[in-house]
Amino acid sequence: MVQHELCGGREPKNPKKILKPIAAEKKSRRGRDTSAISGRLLVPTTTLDTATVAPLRYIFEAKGIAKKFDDGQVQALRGVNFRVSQGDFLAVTGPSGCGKTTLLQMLGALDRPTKGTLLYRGKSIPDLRDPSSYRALEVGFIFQAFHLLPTFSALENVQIPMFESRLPRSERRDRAVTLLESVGLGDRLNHFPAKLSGGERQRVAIARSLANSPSVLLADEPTGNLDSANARIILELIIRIHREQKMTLVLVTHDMSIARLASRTIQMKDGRIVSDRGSNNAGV
Amino acid sequence: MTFFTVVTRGLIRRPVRTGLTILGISVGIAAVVALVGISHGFSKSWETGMKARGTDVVVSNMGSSLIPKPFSASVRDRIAHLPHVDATCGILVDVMGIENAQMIMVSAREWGGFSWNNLKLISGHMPRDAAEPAALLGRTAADVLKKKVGDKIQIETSELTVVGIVDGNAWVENGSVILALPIFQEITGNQDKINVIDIRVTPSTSAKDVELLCAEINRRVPEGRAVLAGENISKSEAYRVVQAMSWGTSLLAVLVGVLGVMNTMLMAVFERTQEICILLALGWRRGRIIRMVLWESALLGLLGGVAGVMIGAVGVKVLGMTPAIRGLLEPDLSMSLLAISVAIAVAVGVISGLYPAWRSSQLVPSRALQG
Repeated sequence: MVQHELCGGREPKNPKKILKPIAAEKKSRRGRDTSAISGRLLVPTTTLDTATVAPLRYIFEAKGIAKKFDDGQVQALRGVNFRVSQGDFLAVTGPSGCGKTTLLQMLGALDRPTKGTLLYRGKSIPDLRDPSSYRALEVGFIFQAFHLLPTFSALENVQIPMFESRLPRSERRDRAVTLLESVGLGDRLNHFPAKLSGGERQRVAIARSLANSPSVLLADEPTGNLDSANARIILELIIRIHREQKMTLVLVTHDMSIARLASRTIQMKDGRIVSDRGSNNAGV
Repeated sequence: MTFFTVVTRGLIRRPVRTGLTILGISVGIAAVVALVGISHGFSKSWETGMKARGTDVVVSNMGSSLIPKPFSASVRDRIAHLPHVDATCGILVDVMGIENAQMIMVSAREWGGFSWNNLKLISGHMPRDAAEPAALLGRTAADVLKKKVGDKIQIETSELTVVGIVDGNAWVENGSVILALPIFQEITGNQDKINVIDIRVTPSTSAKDVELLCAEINRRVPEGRAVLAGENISKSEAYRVVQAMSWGTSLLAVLVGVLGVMNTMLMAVFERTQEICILLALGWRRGRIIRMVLWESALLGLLGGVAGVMIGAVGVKVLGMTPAIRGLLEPDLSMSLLAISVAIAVAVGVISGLYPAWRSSQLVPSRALQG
């Protein structure tokens, strides 16, 4: 893969050289992990206190999770079990209404399961003491509809999640510039979303998802609103980030051609997992 | 980009609505500045007038009226010989329509009393005796009445001659028509009546002795009440009623401002439901969302307050120049009043933002993923 093809013909900078994990910086400032800055600049780290937990193979573990909506009238998930290892690329596929997005929302602590256990690095996601911090620092979201804030420039949109990182203002800005350059939008820093193409908007959203160097990227139909050329560019960019930063990627799609790019594919139907290809630990 | 960039961006995205909301608050605050400033000014005008006349203690019966009730001129005799009383001057004061002026103060003073001493002649001469049908005009009163020395002036049924234009070194003095006491007593049918006694205490009298003097006068003179010159108006029942009405009317106007800001902020929250959900999904804490909404509404209040203070100050100045009340009162736009007005506006903003902020904090972030 030629890198500049990923970025609409513009040569992106190598994110390896420039993207420090903010969570690691934060920890080191607190004096808990001083090796983080000088050490692994790319490998996402966690802000969760896992010191007392034995090294965990799985970043996510779901045991019998169910979700009901509308006072139990609608059952979106019915006893879902799976495990995701650190660095996996997991595609979740299935027809509309099968529960894919609901599952993603739960992984991102945007919603809670009605039943079952959902763990992130051994900690229960629904019982997190600080779900905001988890959403800000551990996971990065990429939405189908981009969900950029229209009154903020590309540069400002990327800085929005960084408010929770407590980085100084100048560092937030520098980091946002670096991230936008890394997705090939160095010349679109001050453009507002309305002045960007669909592909460019999604690249801003990708840069935003990396704002705090998360451990996990959660992408919900990230190419769903794009033409095929832009869809390919975006998909390749996400996969490149996943590979280069060894970031766990959970991608929801109904497009099997996209799902086939994943190392592992879960297929869902009526709130249940009906197949799990590529897994070496299929069920729990 | 700072947190305040986010706050201000929320306001400028709907400039017309933000502008109208600021205008709504500013009208309420302008009402506070104008009404309270005028009522304070009324009190202050009297106070400076008293000081200009060299008056330390005033005996009058304000009752529930802004013009004191008349009492017998012989009351002065019961006071004049008390310890620490240096000089006294009986006065009959009234506010009335004279020719083209709808309200102008007429101050008739005991002939030879110390209250004449502060008047500095600009033109003409002082009345020759207490019986001369003559009037002095404060320089503002001369402007309002469009009179010069030698002109005739009609007060009630009597025609007097303007014999001098004077500078009384105070707003009230300059806005007054000044006569000898007997002339005005006859014009108003208040023979042997006065309604104010100016008292000058002997130099080096202590504050405590002045207080004791007031108490002694109050004991001896049930017709009136002795108070320090600066408190004559501010302690009167009528002034308190006016002040309460000023604040009451102002607060009603402010309440309208509260509803305006609350409506704007609720609209902003409803309109930005998805954006707020996105912020929550991106890890913004609910507390930060609440702060964002509260800062926006506080900023609306601040801008409305500053605009309101400016509108109110200009309005009061314009009002002070109108013929109807020109020279009658001096608007008191003290820094403390302006600061309190802006503080009220900011408080209005914050209070109005509480409910919208709470609503915004109740949003469910998963809604951001829908659509």
